[in-house]
Amino acid sequence: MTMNIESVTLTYERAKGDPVTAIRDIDLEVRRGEFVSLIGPSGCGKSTLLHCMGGMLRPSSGRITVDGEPITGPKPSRAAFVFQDYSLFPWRSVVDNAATGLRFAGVRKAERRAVAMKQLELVGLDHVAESYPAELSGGMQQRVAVARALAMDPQIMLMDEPFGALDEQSRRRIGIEMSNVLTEAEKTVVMVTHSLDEAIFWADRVLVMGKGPGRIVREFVVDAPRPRRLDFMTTASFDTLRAELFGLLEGAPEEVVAP
Amino acid sequence: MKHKIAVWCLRILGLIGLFGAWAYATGPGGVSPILVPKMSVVWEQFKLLVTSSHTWSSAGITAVELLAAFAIALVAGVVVGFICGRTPFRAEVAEPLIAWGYLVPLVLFYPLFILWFGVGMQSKIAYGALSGFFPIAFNSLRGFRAIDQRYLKVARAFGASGSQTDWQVKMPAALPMVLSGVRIGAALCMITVILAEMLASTRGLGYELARASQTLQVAEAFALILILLVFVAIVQYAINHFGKERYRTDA
Amino acid sequence: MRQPSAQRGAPRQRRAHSASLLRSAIVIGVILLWEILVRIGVIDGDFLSAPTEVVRAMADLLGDPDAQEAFRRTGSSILLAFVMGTSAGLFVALALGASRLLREAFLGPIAFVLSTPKSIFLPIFTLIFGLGGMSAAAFGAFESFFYVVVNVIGGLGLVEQRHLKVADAFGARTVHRYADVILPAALPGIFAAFWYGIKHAFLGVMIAQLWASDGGIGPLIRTYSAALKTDYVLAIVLLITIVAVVAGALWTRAETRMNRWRSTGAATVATI
Repeated sequence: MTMNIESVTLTYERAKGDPVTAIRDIDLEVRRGEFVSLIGPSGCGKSTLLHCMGGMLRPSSGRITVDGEPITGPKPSRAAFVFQDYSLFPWRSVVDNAATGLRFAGVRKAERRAVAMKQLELVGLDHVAESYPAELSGGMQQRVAVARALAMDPQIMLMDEPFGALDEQSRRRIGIEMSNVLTEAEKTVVMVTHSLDEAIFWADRVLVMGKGPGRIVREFVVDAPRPRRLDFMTTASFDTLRAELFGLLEGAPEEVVAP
Repeated sequence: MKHKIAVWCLRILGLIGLFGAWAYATGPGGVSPILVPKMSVVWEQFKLLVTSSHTWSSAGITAVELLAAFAIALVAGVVVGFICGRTPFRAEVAEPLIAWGYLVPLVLFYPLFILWFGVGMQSKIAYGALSGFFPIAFNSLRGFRAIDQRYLKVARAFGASGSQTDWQVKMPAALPMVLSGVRIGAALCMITVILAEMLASTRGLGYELARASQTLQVAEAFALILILLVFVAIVQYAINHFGKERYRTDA
Repeated sequence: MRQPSAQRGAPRQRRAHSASLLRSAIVIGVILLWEILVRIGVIDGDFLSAPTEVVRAMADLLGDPDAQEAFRRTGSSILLAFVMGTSAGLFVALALGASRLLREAFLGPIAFVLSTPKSIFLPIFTLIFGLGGMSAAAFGAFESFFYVVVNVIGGLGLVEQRHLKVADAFGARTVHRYADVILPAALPGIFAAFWYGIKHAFLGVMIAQLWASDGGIGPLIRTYSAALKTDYVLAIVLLITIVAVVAGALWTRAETRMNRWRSTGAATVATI
């Protein structure tokens, strides 16, 4: 599986004022099994790019293909989303939430619940399968959202600041857990994030985007095998990369070391 | 802007449809003027009524009944809500009782009110007050019982006395909830007072409407409906702008 | 101060228990006091009959074929009113829900009529439909229509954009959008619409019958109260009140069950 993004531009028409170009001339290739993180300042269009990859937004020009086949609309078996605000259906139990996409695809009840249960086991939530989302913590809800995406067995997972709403500690813990799950499942993942640590720790490649209009300014390769252990964050190569990213994002000279 | 124009066009279209149907019914439709009077006749009646002092004094009586009923419902409702909402135990006891009172179809009690209070103003006031009381008491109770404990903690920490806590912390904290009950209560007072006047009374706008329609003064009845609609619109405007709170609490 | 949640369960349950005991005591106390006051002549029995007499009258009424006929007539008018008012209300609400323009144009006027005393239109109904059951049913339908519209639209307002987005991202077809997202999210409003629909169909029919009618509970009440048969009036009122309170309690329970997933209390829009 290879996703090709060729000179994609997206311009929004606005009711008042001039149209806004959210992203311009993006070229990118995502290969099978790869983990790519997208990082950049607010409003740089990283989330827009992700939504284009999933077919939720149509580019104004350029094209996106998966193995040569153009993307025209959302198709969860090809690209499944994990949204920032989880957006579980509060009226469905956890296991039925994980099975949502399968239900839409017309899979029989027993079968889709079996698949969903397997994914819940993977993210360590099979014990709350019959609970409702309101009874779960934010971190657990997001793991259900990951299971919901995994249940589609997608060729590519698209994660939009998946842990942005969590506190720092659970974010790191769940992040590492999910990172292991995704690596073991050999999933291809594109993740949008605000966190430098997350961007580096998870990814094979970090793409830094810039603003006005959104474009890719730099690409870094994180040269360490996945899954990684937590102490990867204390290595010199991690530090160097982090400092470099920090400088780039904050527009400061590169010798300034991150706090 | 374009949107606004479209909205108003649609509304005007709706009115044209309504009046068009009316004009058609009384004209080519051939509906008897005893059932539906002609628009022009109703308009003449309307002008006649608006200039007559009798109409104004009727409206005055209805307004007095409404205000008196509302004042009683307001004071009784807020006081009961406050007293019952003071402790969780009292709230637990009182809430279902008030909710049941809310469920009772008060319309059916109307003949009894005539029996107890006569056909004069008192029965309208009592009846209106009773129906306005329940929503005000219910919402006040909920407002006072659900006051965020943090506010009370602050009050204690900064040395507020009992009455200071009541007036300066509890009241404003519960106010949004209380006011929403007051608006419902006021609307119910209006609905019941006018209904009561129509069912049995000797004065007031509702009585005039009942008299006109029972003596088959159809044009006058239609004109009175128009006058009542204006009356209602004024009261509703007052209700909607009654003590608009500028803040929200979680209560 | 609040207790930590682990310890809160038991005292709260005990409190609820003693509260319901006290509540029953209050209700029984009031009934006893009422009986005594009538018996010793502080209250005139013509104006307020003693509870025992009301119960006796209730038994009388239940066996009286005329009263049964009145209840039957009123009941069928209510049913007719509910069906007409609710279906018209649902139809209009779905149309308004589908178009923002229509909603902005007509929701305001509908909300205005909602809190208007609809009784002022009674003369028109009597003129058009006469004194029979159809008049009462039409007025009941008119009453309930507005509550149904406002509540269904309120329910549709609870549908969240982000859930529709998930549906799209996970390949939902139109039928899924309605069955899996819009309907469950709007359910409290739809539930409330049915409740207020039946409640106001009932109230509308009662009002219309008290106003002018040739049969049903309304005239029955009028006749009894004119004859100072207060015990019978109270018996009718009490019977209907019991039905209303029981129906209300059942409705609340059903609603709570349907909305088990909702962490906060279900939002009902119009509460008059």
